[in-house]
Amino acid sequence: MRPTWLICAREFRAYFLTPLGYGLVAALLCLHGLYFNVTLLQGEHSSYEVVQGYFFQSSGFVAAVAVLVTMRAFAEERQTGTAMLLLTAPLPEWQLVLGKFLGAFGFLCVYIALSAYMPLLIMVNGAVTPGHLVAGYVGLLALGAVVTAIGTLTSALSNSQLLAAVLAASIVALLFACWVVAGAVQGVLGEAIAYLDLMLSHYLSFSRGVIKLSTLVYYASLVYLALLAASVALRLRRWGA
Amino acid sequence: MSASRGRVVAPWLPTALAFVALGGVLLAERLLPRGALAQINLIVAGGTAVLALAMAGVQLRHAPRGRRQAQGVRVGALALVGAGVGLFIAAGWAHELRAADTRALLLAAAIGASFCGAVTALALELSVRQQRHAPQVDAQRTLQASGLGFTLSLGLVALVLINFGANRLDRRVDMSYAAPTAPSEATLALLRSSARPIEFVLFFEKQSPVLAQLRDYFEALEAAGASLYVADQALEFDLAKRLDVNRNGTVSLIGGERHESWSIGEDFELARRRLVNLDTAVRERLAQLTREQRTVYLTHEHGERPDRAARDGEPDAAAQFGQIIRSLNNKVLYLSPARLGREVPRDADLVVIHGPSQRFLPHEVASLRAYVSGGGALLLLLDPDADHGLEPLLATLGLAPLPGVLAHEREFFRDTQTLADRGFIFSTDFTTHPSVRTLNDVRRRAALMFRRAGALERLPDTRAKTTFVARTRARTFLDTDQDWAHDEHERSGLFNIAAAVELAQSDAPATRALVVADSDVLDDKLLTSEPNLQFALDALLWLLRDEQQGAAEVAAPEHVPIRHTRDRDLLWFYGSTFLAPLSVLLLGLGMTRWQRRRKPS
Repeated sequence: MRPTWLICAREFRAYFLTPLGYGLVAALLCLHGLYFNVTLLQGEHSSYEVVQGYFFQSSGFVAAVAVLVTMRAFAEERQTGTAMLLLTAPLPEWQLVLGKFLGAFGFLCVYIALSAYMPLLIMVNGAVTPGHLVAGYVGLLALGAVVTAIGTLTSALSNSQLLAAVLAASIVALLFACWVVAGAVQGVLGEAIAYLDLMLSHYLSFSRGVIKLSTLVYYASLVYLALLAASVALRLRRWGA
Repeated sequence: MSASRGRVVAPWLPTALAFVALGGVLLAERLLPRGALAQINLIVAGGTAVLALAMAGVQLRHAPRGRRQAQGVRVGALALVGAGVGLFIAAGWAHELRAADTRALLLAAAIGASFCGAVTALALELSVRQQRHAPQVDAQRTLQASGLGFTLSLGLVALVLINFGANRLDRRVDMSYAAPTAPSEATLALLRSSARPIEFVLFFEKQSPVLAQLRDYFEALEAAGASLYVADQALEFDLAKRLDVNRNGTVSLIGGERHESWSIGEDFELARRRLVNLDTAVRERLAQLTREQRTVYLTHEHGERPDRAARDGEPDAAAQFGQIIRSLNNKVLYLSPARLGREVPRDADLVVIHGPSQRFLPHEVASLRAYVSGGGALLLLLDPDADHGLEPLLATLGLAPLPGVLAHEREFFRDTQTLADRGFIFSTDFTTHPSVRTLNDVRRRAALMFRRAGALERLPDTRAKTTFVARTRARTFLDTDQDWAHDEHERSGLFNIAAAVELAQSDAPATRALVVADSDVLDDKLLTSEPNLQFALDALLWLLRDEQQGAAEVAAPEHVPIRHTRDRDLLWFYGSTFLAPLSVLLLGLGMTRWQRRRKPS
């Protein structure tokens, strides 16, 4: 596992080597704060509603950060010409993928931690149960892990960062919109598609303060599948190389 | 010779045939209507799968030594696909036999087997195709590719099974306090006590976000024994008409021949408020369907709380309490002095005397004493400084009020910011009596609020079984001179504020009476507090002899509105929108500059 941690640490540090990483976090925090103020703090709302709304809208920002952060994971290596070094390194593919994933996920955790002042403001000016916050953050981290894994996969598949980001955003949007598709499909297939939905079928429970085992298992499955597929994609690239 | 015979058919043809067989199954299962055509299609699909397997077998037999392993993998993959198709056909027979569980099991196995087989075969064919220009197919690479396909597909099937299991297990940790994610104990108790089967029908479009909010709650009710059905009003018109539902966004509750429907709405923003009170709404409707209607009489024209409000031209301060009584499927009637003077009506299941400020006449008191002595039920809410003339009735119940108003110099709620707030006390000390059962269960979280309450004591030599159900905090004092300060001559310590009394009867059920030395405890203002609301529910259920139905779990009193002030809102806006991001940006600039300076050294 040592190479995995080395790759993870290198990736994590790379985000903070230039002001770009900080700029990305600051810009998204600014948008997040603005959206939070405009949509949730206008008019009379109970603390519970505001916290629920906060976690619901945070899911979109966390997904955006995850997509933007992971697009560079492998695609940048290809663009800068360091991919060959990576592919010929005497490491199994899964260690490379896991290292890149953990580095990006660490950065995402920093973003999530930095945005915590918003629910803390609600705590000061209203009243919320810590349990609700815990459940919400578990959900945000789980959803962030899923999107990060999908971003890692698309980055492993693409040659350009932009294409990786567009691909990841499309897959995530598709998983966010499964509920709509499920409405048009009857029977078991409709239920299966509804189950695939990331948001309404699964994430909504977290934003309401409920941690469901089925949701955690589903998210973990998606992370595993995406990382496995990324490993396979890397292996295929190695064969091609 | 053998090699040339092996090449009579293209190597990929068996795999293509297997995919055709799978397409036939899909056609029969999903697109064709059930019947002869679908059956024929399934049989043809089965035949095609067998043919594909046979062709692959022949190819294996004639394959040269270097290709045998890869050909063996192909046979194995196609055997899996064939097994999947066979299981699909068997599932169709199970459907004919109406063996639902067997069919589900067979279908799951069929999907798993055919998926793994198809992906493995596809990976193998793709690998072979990639090497089509090579002088010889690299067997090792082909095996690796098919192995990868099999591992991926098997992993996916395993994940689907794990997800299915987790979903069926339905374990959850509920950390919300106001969301309708789970029914309260009271609602569950009502459901379980129902003699009729209860069914919930949710009229919503499938993709409705409001339905997504409701699912957890109603699935928990389903797990507790109710039936649950989600229907689209536009598609299930007959059902909707039978339940008097004319639009989506409606919840219907069916209990035997009776049903109740109420609208929540499909617009999430509009439905939000109703969703918060979902459990109360469900409990009220359940009570309407499951409980027999009782009659509750409220005395009036003795300066009771509702009378006082009407006289002063104010809204009824006890309206919510009346609503709570009605929500438990009780009929509320007023008991006039003239009627009370004769006797308490025989159909009275409960008589409520809510904070009288004028004297009851002796023959009215006599009627009440006769009612109580005959096994009736009475809720008596008395203010300590009121001249109500009900002391003889209290004596019948083995109780006497102590002179003075209870106050505490340190532990009280601030309201008017005057010394009088010291009379705004609370209790967190409850007994295990059913009338305060839920409060006792959550006593560390629940504070029952009283305003200007009095104290009660038990009379000596009484035959009544008295339980003091709520006591004050330590160092509460009985303020007799109304200066809200603890003087030396005033008693201090623990006092009893509420008492549950039972009087055994030889030929009737025991009398039940609940006496509270404060009428504000159940007025509209204090009933906004969850523990007071809980007390009202528990007390009513005990008095009406329905205590086994329990009451709702008290939510933590943290569901409060966000308080807004102009200054605070400005601070929030600039702080959260600009200050925090700017801090991150400055930190970033500082850190990167520091790192650059460090590098040369």
